[in-house]
Amino acid sequence: MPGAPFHIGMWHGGNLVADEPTGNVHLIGFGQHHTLNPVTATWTRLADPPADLLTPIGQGKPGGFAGLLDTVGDRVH
Amino acid sequence: MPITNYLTAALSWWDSPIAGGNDEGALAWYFGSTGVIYLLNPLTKAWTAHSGMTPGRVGIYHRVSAFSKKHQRLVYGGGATVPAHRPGSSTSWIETAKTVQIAVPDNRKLWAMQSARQYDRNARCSVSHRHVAWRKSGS
Repeated sequence: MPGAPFHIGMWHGGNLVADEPTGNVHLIGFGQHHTLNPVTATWTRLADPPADLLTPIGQGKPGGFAGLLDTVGDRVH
Repeated sequence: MPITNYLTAALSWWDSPIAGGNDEGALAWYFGSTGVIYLLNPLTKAWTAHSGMTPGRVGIYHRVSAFSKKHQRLVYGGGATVPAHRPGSSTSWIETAKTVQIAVPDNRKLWAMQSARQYDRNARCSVSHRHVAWRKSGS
């Protein structure tokens, strides 16, 4: 599986969110939004999130994380 | 519970029947420090360990995971090899006892775990270790 487009991890990197309708996994952080197909192991970059979306950088600074509204398949940041 | 004292465990719900869980699923605990994924049967409270899930990469903090129900795969990885690092950077840093910062490799590695055999409703928890497939990321 190819490496993620940027650092992944709690506190200092993007976090993973499964997207039930597509079966893909989403990665959001550092002003970018990518999706991974875990079967084909391919990453696709999606439209950048809003510029003021928080990035998960931690260390006392405001951070952001993503979750899934599973009944409609939308992601919340 | 097989492990304690770690604040950054990656937890996901394996939202499908799987050996080591029950008819509805299992709690998947990715423990990067030792490269083990534990499955918890929420009814029996029994844990099943799958070792060797991050070949060549252990001692990982701050890892993440997510389960794709459609594709029946747990994607996991990421994290940092040490608790101290420079936030917002693509590079992690070790701070030694003398507070010297040493760059360590960027951690963008991911793996995927999938159930490699049909869930047996009668057998339930009678599983063998390492009956899962993993795919190593990158080179």
